[in-house]
Amino acid sequence: MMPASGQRRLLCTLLLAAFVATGCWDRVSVDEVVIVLTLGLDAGSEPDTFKVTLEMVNPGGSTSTETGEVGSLPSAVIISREGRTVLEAIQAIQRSVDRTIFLGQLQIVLYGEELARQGIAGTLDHLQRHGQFRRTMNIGVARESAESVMRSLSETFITLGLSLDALTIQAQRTGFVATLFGDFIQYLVEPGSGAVLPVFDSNEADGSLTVVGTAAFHADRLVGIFNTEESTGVALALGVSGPGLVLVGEADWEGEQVLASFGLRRIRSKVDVRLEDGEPKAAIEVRFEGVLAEQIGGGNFTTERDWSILESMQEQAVVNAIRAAVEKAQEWKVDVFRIGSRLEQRFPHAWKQLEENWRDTFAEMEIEVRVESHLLETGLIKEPLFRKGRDG
Amino acid sequence: MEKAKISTGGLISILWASHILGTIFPIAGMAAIAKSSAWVSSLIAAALGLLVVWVWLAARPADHQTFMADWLCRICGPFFGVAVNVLYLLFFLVMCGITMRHIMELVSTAVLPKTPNVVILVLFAVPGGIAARLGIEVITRSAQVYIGFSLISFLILVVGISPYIHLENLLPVLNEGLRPPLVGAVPSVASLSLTGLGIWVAPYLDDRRSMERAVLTATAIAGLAVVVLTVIAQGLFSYRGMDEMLIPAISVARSVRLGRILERLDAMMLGAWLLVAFLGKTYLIYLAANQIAWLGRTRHYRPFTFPVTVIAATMAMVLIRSDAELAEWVNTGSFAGYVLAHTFVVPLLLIGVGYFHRRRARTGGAGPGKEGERVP
Repeated sequence: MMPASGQRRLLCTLLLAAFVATGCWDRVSVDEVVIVLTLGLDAGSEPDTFKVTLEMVNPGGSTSTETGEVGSLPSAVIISREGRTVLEAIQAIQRSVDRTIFLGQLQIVLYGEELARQGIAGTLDHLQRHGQFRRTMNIGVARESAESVMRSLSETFITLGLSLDALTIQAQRTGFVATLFGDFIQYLVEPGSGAVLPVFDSNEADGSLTVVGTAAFHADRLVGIFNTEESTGVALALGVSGPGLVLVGEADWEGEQVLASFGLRRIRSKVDVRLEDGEPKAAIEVRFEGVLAEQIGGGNFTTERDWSILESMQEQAVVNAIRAAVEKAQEWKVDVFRIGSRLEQRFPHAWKQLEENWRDTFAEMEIEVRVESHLLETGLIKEPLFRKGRDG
Repeated sequence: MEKAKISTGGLISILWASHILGTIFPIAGMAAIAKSSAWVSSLIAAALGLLVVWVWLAARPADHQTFMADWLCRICGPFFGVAVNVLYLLFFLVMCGITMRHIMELVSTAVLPKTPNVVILVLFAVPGGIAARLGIEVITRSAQVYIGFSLISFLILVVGISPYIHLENLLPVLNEGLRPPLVGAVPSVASLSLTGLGIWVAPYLDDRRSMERAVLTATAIAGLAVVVLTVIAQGLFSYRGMDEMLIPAISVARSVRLGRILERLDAMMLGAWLLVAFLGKTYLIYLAANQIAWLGRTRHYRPFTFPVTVIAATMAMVLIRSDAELAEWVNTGSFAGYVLAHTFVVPLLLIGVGYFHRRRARTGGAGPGKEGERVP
């Protein structure tokens, strides 16, 4: 049995707790917020201004705005406003929304191509400083403008942000990169290094959302966009390709063109750097295991004698993709392979001399591509049923 | 002083909790000073931390049942003994205030940004005062439970974050020599040396060996935690990224992502951290209240716990103006010098004076304990 004084103390403590616990200034009631899933950033109509576009989901079911942009109970609303800073534009959006904008569940930040080419430095501070943003959110570039891509897809996708997040997984499995915000920031500040982001576009014909390329950044500016093959090369060189990536190899066999699709898995890569007479040299080394998934033309290569034909086909496909990416990166003078960063890590004293003219040095340096692969499986059949141009 | 018995595990837990400050700001400081050798800096801090604590242990009372406050009087004489005890009282109060400020800044930055700072301070300070009143036995037993939560959340953090760590971010090593990592390690050594405060409650343990084991183990575990956290932060963000952050530990917690399902684990991580920080602060309130009791020649420390809490909370508000100023003070300011003066310099002086007393005793003079002995 608790003594009377103890009971009084306990009562006082509970009363005090009740007094302070119910008055939380930071309480977030689900029916008083709109959850932002996608944040689009474009260049504003005035110089040095930004246009912020938010895709907001109303967990309560309806959101009214003074602008009348909201239809009959849509799941998500998209509103754009301009400001000199990101937060000023978000505040302008807040004036049109009767619930508190909540950024803690943001799935992806989309930069419009135009703003990305002008430079995104002014937008990064708030994304890093604000406590609600996570370093693990996705980041990408939208063809032309983020607003137009978001609006064109809003009718097809109920929650665009979640679809974009899911699409980044598929992008990694199909030869593109997917970049987290935290990693992007890290690569931007590394001396000499470039950063890459997936590029999204809406397909007007079928209303689909597509990953169309890989944007290469030097410092805070978009320098160029890699096409599909080059993007695959970048993803392979950086070792960020997910399992299931398919590459098509080509070969000439007994005067016949052979095409074979290989599924790649256990992809490992590293960038090896060295100095020869003070000159930097780099080698991109990729190792992977392949599975023959499809063969058009040719005969039975699953014999011990012809196994090497298949292996060289898959290796050549990888080499071609990486070479294409290297050539384009050198043309743009953007070190997306982080060779400069590796040099700084391994040869810090030599790097101090190289750093100043690194972009020119990178553009002219020799970059070797080494690929080592093993073909493990060939599927359930040995050879195509009909040989192209001969049988059938 | 109270009638209590504490276990070695309990003391290890509470001492680890008292080091919790070292996981907030000094990691960014290491990156700013030691650059890519920040993780080497953390290793040096762990090793030097053990060395400083070893000096603490060498300066502790020869008799296991003697309280540190009494020992200071025996070694330094009645006047200087009281002066040194007042010095330590102020040290406990300041450290308690600084711990409260750390808690307040972390909570207001990461969890409750709109809640007024005073409210956060009161929410954490009042339970600390209540817990300190309950005595060292309750504090250490609670610490054992809370440390369990903290360890589990730390393990989840390490497992969840390890796929994203780039070990090449730890390179180059020592490219600017050993000096930057050594200098960068100093604030961490200072916060690690706070585990030496365990000798203030030594008489509540069974024997002298348990004391040594508890203090050294707590320092080693706390040092290991600093090393792991630094390696994780540097592997994730590189030293440049760490240098830009005010509190890298928050960013590390926010980077945990388990299979795209569990994404917001930072609240859980911070919750476990706050429980431990709460105990560290409670322990400091307890020490300060005991120190006042000793100076006031009373055995009853309990009436002093709430006044100590109020003084420390006030200090938390007035000593530092902002989180940036707190970070600067801890990383490059006088924090390390202030702490090490109490945890390294004074113990060294005690060892020197003790040695002088022993020599004098051997040659026929008065030894420690003969003069100025004062038992509350």
